[in-house]
Amino acid sequence: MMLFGKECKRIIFSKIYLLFFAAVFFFSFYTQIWSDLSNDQDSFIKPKPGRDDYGITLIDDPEVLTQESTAQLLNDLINNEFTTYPYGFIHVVHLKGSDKEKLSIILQKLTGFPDPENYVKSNCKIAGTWGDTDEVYTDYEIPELNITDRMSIEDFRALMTEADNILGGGSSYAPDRIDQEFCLGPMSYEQALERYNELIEDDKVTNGYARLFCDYHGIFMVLFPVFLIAVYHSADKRSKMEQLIYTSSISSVRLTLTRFAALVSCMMLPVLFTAVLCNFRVMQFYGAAGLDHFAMIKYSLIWILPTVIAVTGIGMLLMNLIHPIAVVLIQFAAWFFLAMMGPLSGHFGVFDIIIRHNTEYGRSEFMDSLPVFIENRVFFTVLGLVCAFAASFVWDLRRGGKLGGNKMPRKLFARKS
Amino acid sequence: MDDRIEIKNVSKFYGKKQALNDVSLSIGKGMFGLLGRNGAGKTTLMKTLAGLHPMSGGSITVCGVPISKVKEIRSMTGYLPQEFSMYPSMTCEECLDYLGTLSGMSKGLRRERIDEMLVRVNLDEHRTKKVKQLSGGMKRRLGIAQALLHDPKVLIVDEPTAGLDPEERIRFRNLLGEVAEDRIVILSTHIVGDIEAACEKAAVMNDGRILHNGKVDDLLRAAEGMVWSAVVETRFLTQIKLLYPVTGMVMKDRDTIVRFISEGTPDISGAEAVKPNLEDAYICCLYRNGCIENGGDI
Repeated sequence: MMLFGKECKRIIFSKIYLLFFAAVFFFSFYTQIWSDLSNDQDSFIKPKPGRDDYGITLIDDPEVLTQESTAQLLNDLINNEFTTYPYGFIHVVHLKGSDKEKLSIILQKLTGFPDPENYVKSNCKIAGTWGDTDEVYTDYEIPELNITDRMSIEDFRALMTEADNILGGGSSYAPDRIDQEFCLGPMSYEQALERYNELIEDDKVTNGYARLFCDYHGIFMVLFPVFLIAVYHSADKRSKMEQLIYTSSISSVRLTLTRFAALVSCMMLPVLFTAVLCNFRVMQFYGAAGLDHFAMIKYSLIWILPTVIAVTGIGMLLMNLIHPIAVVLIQFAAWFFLAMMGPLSGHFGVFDIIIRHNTEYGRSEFMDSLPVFIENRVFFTVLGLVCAFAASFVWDLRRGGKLGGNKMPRKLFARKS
Repeated sequence: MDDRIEIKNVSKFYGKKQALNDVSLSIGKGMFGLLGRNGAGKTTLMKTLAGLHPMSGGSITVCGVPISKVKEIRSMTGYLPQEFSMYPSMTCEECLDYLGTLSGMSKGLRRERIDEMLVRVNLDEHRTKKVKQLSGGMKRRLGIAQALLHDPKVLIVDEPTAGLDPEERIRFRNLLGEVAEDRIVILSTHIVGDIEAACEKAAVMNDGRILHNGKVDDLLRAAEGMVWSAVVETRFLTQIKLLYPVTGMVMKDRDTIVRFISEGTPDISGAEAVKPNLEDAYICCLYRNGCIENGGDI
């Protein structure tokens, strides 16, 4: 415990930790404390009957899905401009040759038109002017296609997946995005009331916001820790203290695991700190009564702690094997790629380190995924601990001179002289 | 319990390069010097003794404990590496406290030993100074303090005086002499003066081999009759250097007093045998073992 305290002190009083803390606090403040709550005033008002608009929601209507997505695909084909997000970054695709033909064939199957592009250009063109200006624009008003009369929803989805593949993935027609992009409809009063009650009564408000809080912090805590781990890990070598530590009598497992625990604990501090701040922020809008004041802390420990454990364990193991700078580059790139890849909500598997739930609503959707969520968090906790133990084993080899700095493969496979 | 370090037929390879070649030594209490050129294998031997390098062959026991029992070896050994420092933003006291914790010392014992060590190495007044504010000599003294903190039976110091000014070097040697009273201290150095001033026994190493092992006086005795001095015209110096290993030269106008090694009577008029110092004895040892050839540079 004494060593744990000393390691925590070393971390907390380092410059890199101040930067880490500031980064987590800044992004937390920017995404939640300042942004979400203040911009989403509707969340706090109980819906009243008789209003025209209660917002939009995801609906289960094959007619809407097939019509809206096919119309958009047709428009995109006519303009030959498809916006995709293959690796989280925007990419505009312009099709040529056989790919364009393949997409036309898909649209033939979907629309029933022999030449959908020319049919729409000839028959569906509309023109107008922008606002009060004389600037003329042309658009295409796609007629009712009645796709569900010609094919099953499964066949439709298969064709859209094929279209997404032609576009290189990450388009609005991808299986994990198509519903959220095109299957939206107006929310009814009953739905709005149910959503409100779910947040107020079941989630006691803070549980809903805690999921949103963890959605953002799940990303921060995957991206930022590698910098702190790298600086902390290389401190012994930079300070030329490595050999003094190697020759002390502490066991490699004890030292490595203590440092691992110190890193994890210190990295959780800004998370818990901002969790408390967010709780106060929610209190500002909803009042203290009826809130679950431990929700933010509870979710942070269940949701974010396993992420931190995994990222720290993996980072420590890799830094014992290869140069810390290489680890920073590899890990940051890998985590960033993973963070940008998935949808904003739902659809996570056991092996997805980043779990997205970018809304304070959707309790039932989250609860439906709870078994997968638990398996996921247990998996990453175990993975992090296994990596930490492996890191202590590798460190012990280095300590005894059996494994050199960055020459692992050579050392491992060299014959004993 | 056995209070000796027994090194038997130890060898160490780095790939194909042999760093230690059949090294055997028996080291008892007191200060033992390990003298050799840079690259002679001293640091490899030191690191092997400190459990930082595995051996390729042979055996080592430290006070009866085989070197393979690293935990026990580490708890009875203090090590001061050739190049070291400590976390720059920690104070002297904090550094010792941290390393004491790593050595499993209790809080009370740490406090007591830190006070004792800081006084012993004359850093008591600087206990709250940060490591980054210490001079080279102060850092070395702090290094000795950390190596002695857990009261080890064996202290291994690798090139501790390199880079220190003469005053600091003397102070450091005296400190080592004091701590060697009740433990084994192995001092590795390429500075002959350190051995001469501090060690009763020493080994000379070259190319991973032990060339001499015994009392420093024996090394001096072995060089008797081999060290010569002559006053020669400076213009003949090049020829003399080609014929004999030269250990010293003092220029005087057109003449030079030259000190050199020769196994027999040298072919220089006026040459007289002189009493060897340890530096001469060390060069003689290298010469006898074929590490220096006639006409070769020392």
